[in-house]
Amino acid sequence: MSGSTTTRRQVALGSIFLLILLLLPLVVDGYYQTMLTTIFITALVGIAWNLMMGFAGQLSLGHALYFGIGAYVVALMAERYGLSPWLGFPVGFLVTSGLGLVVGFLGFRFGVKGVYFALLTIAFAEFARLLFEHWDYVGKTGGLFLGSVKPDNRSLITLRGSATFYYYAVLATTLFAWLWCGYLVRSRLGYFWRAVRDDEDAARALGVRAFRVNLLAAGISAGITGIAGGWFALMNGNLFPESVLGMRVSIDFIIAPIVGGLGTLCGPILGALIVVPLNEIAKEAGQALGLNGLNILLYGTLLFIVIVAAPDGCWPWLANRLALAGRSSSKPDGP
Amino acid sequence: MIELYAGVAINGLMIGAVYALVATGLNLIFGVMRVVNFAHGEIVVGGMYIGYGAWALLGLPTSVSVALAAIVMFGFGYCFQRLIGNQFANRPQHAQFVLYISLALIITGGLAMAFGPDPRSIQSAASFSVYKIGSLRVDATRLQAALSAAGVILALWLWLRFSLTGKALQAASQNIIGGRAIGIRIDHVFAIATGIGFACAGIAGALIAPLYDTTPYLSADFTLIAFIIVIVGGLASLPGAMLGGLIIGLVEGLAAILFDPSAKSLLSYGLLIAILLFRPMGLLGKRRAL
Amino acid sequence: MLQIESLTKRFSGLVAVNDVSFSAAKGSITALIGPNGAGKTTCFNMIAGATAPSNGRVMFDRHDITQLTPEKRCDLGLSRTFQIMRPLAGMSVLDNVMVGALLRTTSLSVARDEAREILASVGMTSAADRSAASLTLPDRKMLELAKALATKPQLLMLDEVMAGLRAQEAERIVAVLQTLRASGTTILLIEHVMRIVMSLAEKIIVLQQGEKIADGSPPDVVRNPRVIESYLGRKGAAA
Repeated sequence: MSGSTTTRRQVALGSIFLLILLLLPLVVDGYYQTMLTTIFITALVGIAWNLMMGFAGQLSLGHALYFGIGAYVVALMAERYGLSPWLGFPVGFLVTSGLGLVVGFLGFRFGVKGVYFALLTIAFAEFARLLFEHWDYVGKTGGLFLGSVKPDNRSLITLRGSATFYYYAVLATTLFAWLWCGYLVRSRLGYFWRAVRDDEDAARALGVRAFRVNLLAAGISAGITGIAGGWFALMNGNLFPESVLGMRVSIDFIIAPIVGGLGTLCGPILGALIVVPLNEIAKEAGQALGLNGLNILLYGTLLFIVIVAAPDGCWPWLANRLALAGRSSSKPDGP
Repeated sequence: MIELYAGVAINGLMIGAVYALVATGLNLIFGVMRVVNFAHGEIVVGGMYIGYGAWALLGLPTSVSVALAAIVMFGFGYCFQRLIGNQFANRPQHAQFVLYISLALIITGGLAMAFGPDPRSIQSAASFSVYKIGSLRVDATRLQAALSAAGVILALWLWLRFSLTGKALQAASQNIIGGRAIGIRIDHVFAIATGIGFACAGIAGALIAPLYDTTPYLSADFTLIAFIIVIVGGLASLPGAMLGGLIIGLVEGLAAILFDPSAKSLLSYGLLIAILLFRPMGLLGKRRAL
Repeated sequence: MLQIESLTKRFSGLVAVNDVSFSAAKGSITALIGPNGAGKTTCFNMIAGATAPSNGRVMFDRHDITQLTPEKRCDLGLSRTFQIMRPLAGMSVLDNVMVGALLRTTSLSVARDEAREILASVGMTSAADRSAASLTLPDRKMLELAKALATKPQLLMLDEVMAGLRAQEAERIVAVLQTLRASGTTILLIEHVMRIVMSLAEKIIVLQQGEKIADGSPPDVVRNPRVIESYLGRKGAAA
């Protein structure tokens, strides 16, 4: 079978890619390490969002809700109560996946589908943003700030530290989430997700519990997004409702997985590798040239080109180039 | 005290009429093509810049810039639908959504590059004139904007009801396949609908340009307000858009003085969530459109 | 096995199915026939749980299942195909069939083996790795059948699986159905190809304008004057 040689190639190339990522901080400085960490966070959210959209077929345009709440939970627990993020992350995961379940439950129970579901997710995210902008406890529009890292800081306890620390920590988180999602989409649950995505009624006729399966996707996706938000809070040190809960945040997060390839595991990572540096470059070029908004224009153009010319995204093309595609038909659900 | 509330209510209703025009455009596009225009607020802001540009560069009054915005946005909408939108007619819903998101980003980015992030405002003597009705003082620019918006909506309704193209549009919204069967050129009809939808948003933008400080980043707020209105009123229902616009205008105005000026949208989103869950077809919508 | 009692469906004033009762014995093949718009598919959807009846009951294995969701009915051993074929287009043929098999097992490898077996039984082994969206019409019909079979149904409901097939292809399905019947599966089918219905079914139910006008063995039904008059008319004479 050619299947096993393809698998071997996949593992080999994947390992090389990981090895490069592990060694990269030795040669690049803090600025680039931070940018790469931003890529990992974008990829992490992209993986989570893609689980819901690409594999389970639910369009969420309100993932900022989970990102922002996750960020605020981790930051508030650390800053207000002095609790380690080791506790903050699990709590953040539970809270955000709970929120995902609530939004999903309301949407699916009331039969809110398609466009309506997307609007519902936006409504919840915007509602949360406005709430946080009027809530004293979280600092209103003035934002929430984490104290500066103490000199005797021990990164493994506070989970705060240098750019290099965040680099490895977020890389590990992203890798873990990627492996988990990879396992999930290949599992029994993954089959049910794809069945419901392709045709909910037909899937139900085959005995698939569409409601439960959809809820699981929403909950897991939201939880992972919350973790990503937590890392963003620790790394950034400041949070504003607009910068983590705003609609632009939700929109920005869906660009990478779409550019990379919906319904593929590697798509969100490839997408983040393309989109984040492009955004940085465009921002700097825009500032240098006095052209505010260049990065937004570029984002829009890229998204436009992909959705018009290559709706499957970049990954399927690259996978073919690298001879990574397994089955000939594995276009959307290949690795 | 009563006068204060009455004043706020009237102000809310007036801005609500303009919202209704924005929402009517969104609703027309949705009604005919079953597509949600995520770039609607961007078109409104485009209209605002046309209003601003016409005033700042050429000193043209609002009445002229409104006509200009209508023509430009109609042309833009028509061409966009003809060249790109129609290719997406049979694509999955999320693809259509993403197409409009990309359009929204392109417009916002383009406007930000062209005009910069700083607020632009139209300052003319007219901005300070008021009408006095009894003890009520009504801002003249605002009233003119509201009446013009209502006039455009009325004209659009009449056109949809009595003109041949309008009837074709309605037929297409009832049944695309049936419409094709009776010889409606669906590509052309879709493009007309998009053109009119964009024109509504553009006109609304030019009308409110004297009332707001225009920045490229206002667009998301307008898009969201339009979404809220059409969901509250009923997707694909034109009277629903009118009713929804007035309700949201009123709610925002009253919320601003009853609670806090910045809390107004909170109430709108609460309303939106409640409607989505308990009456997803909206107040005046008949059936689930999807 | 299956018992339908006064099933009725009204769609805003229009009566699609009116007071229809019939039963299907275990291990038998029952055919539901009638002209277009007679209410066959509506009847089918009510039995499968896709449409809620306005009135009446559906009994399966002596349990009232009228209120159950489609997925619960599937658990109990009721499986259906769709008239408008609904392959899970983003998945391979094998994956499509695995979905049904995964209902009863948590093991992917067990499900994969079962799915391969089922594909072999309908003669689709060679298409296993193809994308479901790329299949030809006969293969899609086969896939519909294979998907339903993967849930190991006690009652298999087939909505026009042979429509549009050539005689040879239809024979393949007939053979599969005969094997299934021999193993004790109850089959309910909607079918237009009268030659097949006559040779295959033990019992025929004839619907017309939402009402049952005949119910009996093929020879009885063919002799029934109302059937001859209203539906079989020319076709019946030809058969």
